[in-house]
Amino acid sequence: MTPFLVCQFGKSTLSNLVKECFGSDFPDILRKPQINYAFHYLQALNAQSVLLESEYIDKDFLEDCERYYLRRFGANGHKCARLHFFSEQVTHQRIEELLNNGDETKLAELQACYLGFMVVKPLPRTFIGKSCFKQYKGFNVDDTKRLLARRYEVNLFGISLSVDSIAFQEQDKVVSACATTAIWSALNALSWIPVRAIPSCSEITSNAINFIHGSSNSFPSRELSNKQILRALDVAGLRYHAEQLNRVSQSELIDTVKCHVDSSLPLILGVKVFGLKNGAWLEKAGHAVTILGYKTGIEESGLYIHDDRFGPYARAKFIALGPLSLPDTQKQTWGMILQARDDAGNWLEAHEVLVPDFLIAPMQKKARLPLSFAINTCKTIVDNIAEEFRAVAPSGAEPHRLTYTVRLEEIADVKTRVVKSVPAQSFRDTNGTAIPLTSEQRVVWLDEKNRFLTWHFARLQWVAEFKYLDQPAFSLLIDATEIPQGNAVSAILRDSPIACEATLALLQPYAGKSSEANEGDKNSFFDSFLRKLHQRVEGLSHHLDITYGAPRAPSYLKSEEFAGGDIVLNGSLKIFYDATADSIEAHFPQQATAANPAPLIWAISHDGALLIGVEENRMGHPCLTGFKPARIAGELHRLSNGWAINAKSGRYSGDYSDKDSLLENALRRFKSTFAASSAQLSIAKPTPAVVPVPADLSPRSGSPS
Amino acid sequence: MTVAELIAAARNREVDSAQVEALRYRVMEAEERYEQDAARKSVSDEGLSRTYSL
Repeated sequence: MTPFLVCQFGKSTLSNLVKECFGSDFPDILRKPQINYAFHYLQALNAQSVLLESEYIDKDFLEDCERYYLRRFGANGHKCARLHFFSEQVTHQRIEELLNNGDETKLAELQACYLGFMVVKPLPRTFIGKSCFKQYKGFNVDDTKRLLARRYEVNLFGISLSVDSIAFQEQDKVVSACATTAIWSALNALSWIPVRAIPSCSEITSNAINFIHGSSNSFPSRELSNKQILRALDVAGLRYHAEQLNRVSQSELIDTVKCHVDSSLPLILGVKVFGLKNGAWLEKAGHAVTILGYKTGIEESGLYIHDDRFGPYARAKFIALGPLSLPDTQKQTWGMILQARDDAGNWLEAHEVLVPDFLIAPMQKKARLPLSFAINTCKTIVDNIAEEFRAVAPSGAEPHRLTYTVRLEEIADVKTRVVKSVPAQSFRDTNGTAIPLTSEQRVVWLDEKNRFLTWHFARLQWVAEFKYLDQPAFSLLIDATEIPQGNAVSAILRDSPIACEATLALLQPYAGKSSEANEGDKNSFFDSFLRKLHQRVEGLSHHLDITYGAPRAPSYLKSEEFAGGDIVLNGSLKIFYDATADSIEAHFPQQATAANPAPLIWAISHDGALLIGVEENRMGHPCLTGFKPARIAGELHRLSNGWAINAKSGRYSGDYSDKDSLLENALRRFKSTFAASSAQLSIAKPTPAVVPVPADLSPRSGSPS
Repeated sequence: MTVAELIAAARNREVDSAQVEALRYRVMEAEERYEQDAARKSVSDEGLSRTYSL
């Protein structure tokens, strides 16, 4: 058999190539709605060429074959074929040249025009296997149109290609029904599951029907129940959150889809399908599809789904059911229709209506809290900030405009984003003026950022990003691994300190005051939010960090500073916790009067005490602190007219970026501690830069302690 | 009301026990609504048994 064939992309060539795969047993393949859809989809991507890879081993079909098809008398074997699509003219000559010399530039050109592939299984009628088509342009540019995708690596005779998509296949009606392929596409969309670890349809069906009471443990499989779908997800090692949709509004579903798709999570949607027959709408049966995208905004909103009876990324448009008079819709007022194009690219009239009925959100095992907890917490915050705003705003004022989006994220991704973040330098007021960020706000923001980045959190977080007047305000992190009665708000990140003053500050007076009215079941974490807000009223530790620098471990020890495995403590150490009316001289008379006294060294300890001692026998700051973490440290020198401090400590003060301001604060501390010496205390003038001298001429000197 | 005016009004604001109680009441009402939402969306045995066969 010829290993590959290349043709121009067209309906007739596509049909002939599929027939070429496994003889001419297939009827007119263009009558298949999936092939018709795929043709129009690829046509819209400007497909120009199609390449048939005559023999291809597909992992999914191989497993299905092993489980069921192998013993079929008329089996065509386990080998599939694969069609590859390109948006440029691809010829036999072009492929052969690439195979001959593997030119990198030409490989890149081929990749640039690669549109994806479709596996053709050796089955009559239900032959569309794993198919990955490139997405249309215009998605994932902003938050109004999103589609999920992952990268599929393709190896065509040694030529490496890739396509960003989510795999689609039609149900074969033997080892898989619609629900099985919906689960299979959903598993493909879970990016943390390696492609090769995704179970085949036959395995998914087996997992679904085993262990469920009343299940038939054999193929062919004609249907799956919701219970069986959930069982299959259990076996796949996933957490799922399910809800019934028969009393859910259209906007609620869109919000739920948006949050999950923004979290890179697919959804499995169960629908009732109604078809038009003799002018009347009749219920056909239940059907399951995979939701992989959404479109919101000013234009009509809709969902993008993989429907195995239709095709990948099919657009489902919302419609009102009222005018249709559907039977038995349980008073549901809205539904969806799938939109398909004709050969001219025009939207065709729908002949089916899908009425959403059941929604399953598969996610990581550790994501125990469903989305509703995060959404409810955000709603309560927004509602109560609006209420507090009304209390302070004059009558007739524009409503407080605080909006939010929620998604599930790994903490590593959140931190990667935060580490690159900078606070907005100003906030655009409603009158057009810019409110500038103050230096104090910047210092606090940096401190909070540092604390967040260096603190530990659960791996999975529901992240709610709040915007005030369409400008970033703050983000709320809710521990997705927490239990409903837990204290799940793990962090509040101030994206704009100015916006926070106009939003969070309205609830700040309630921080620390419990909002819990009773001990009943909780569906939000507003109380946990208030507790977290309360923590921001920082205590002594925060004050010390800001004033004297965050604690640092001593960078090294000198041999003189430890003996017998223990740190040698400075015998002259004096600890000052509070202000005194004394002078420095009263505590260190020898340093005040001696002609050439040993120098004094000082440090602000971890708990804020001022430590002072005499530097003797090369025993430096670690002997003051007992080798414990400390803040800014330096030397205290007697001058002819008083005392001067500096921040010379090679062990503690070396890496503060704001050393000068910390030293200013330390000077104030000295002045309050030694009130009688206050007027004589100053910061030592910096010594002139030392011009390096050759090593053999430089005198021996010790490094700052 | 400008943002600057709002910030000035919100800064150093204090609340009394009546306002705390009002907040508590609002949160309680919200929790009741969420409870109803959860019940509205909760999965029934009938829902679990629904099959998909198209």
